[in-house]
Amino acid sequence: MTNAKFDPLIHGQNRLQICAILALTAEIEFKVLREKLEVSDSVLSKHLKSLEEASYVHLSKRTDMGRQRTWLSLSSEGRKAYSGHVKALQEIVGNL
Amino acid sequence: MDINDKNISVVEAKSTLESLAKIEQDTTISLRASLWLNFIMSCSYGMGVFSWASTRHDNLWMLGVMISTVVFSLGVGFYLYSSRLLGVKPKLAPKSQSELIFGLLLAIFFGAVVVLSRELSTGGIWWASYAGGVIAALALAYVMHRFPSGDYKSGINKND
Repeated sequence: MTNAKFDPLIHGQNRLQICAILALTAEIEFKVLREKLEVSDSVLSKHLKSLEEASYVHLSKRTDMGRQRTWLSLSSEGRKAYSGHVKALQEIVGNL
Repeated sequence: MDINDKNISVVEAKSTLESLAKIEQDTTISLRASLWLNFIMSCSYGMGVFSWASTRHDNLWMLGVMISTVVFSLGVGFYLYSSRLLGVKPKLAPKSQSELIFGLLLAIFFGAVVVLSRELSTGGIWWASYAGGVIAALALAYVMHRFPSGDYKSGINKND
């Protein structure tokens, strides 16, 4: 069971949304995530870099049908941090 | 305004949770199989359950099991392939405790439907195979539509 733990790294709106989307999927392509968040390549790359440095997100570049695609997934640490952060937010609101 | 030790107000936490619920809902919808694919997969699964419950040594319903297995496998394969092309890969294995519990409950439910419809049908209750097939098809269609992420906590969309 994940404990409630507020994580300032993923509290930023875009980073939290990145974690929320990745938590529901096995992997998502960079381009699709960028369209969902409606941000530019550079903004998304910046957020992903900070999440990757914290080992919350895995980036994997693979060639599919002759074109390179970047796939993103949430690591187990990232999943725990996201789950703990959501629980902390729920505790603040008083849902728990 | 009520500020706690994390310097987050209750209002801010509430609005963050609401925005998370919205993005989870959008992602859940993008993970759903299209309705025609959901229909084909559910019908082939229900047909498989019905055929298996109806199979006896003196009839050909085993052929129905084989055909429905092939159609269902093709449906799953097409769903995974199209998801990959669209850039969103669904989870194939549970990644959290709630997903594991949900997966186990579903496995028990679908297993019970298969076993009970077969046992009752061979025991002389002729409609058990029909009931098993219909229940399995409807349950699979509902689960695939409502919980495509495999987690009951994130799949409930109260607005549709």
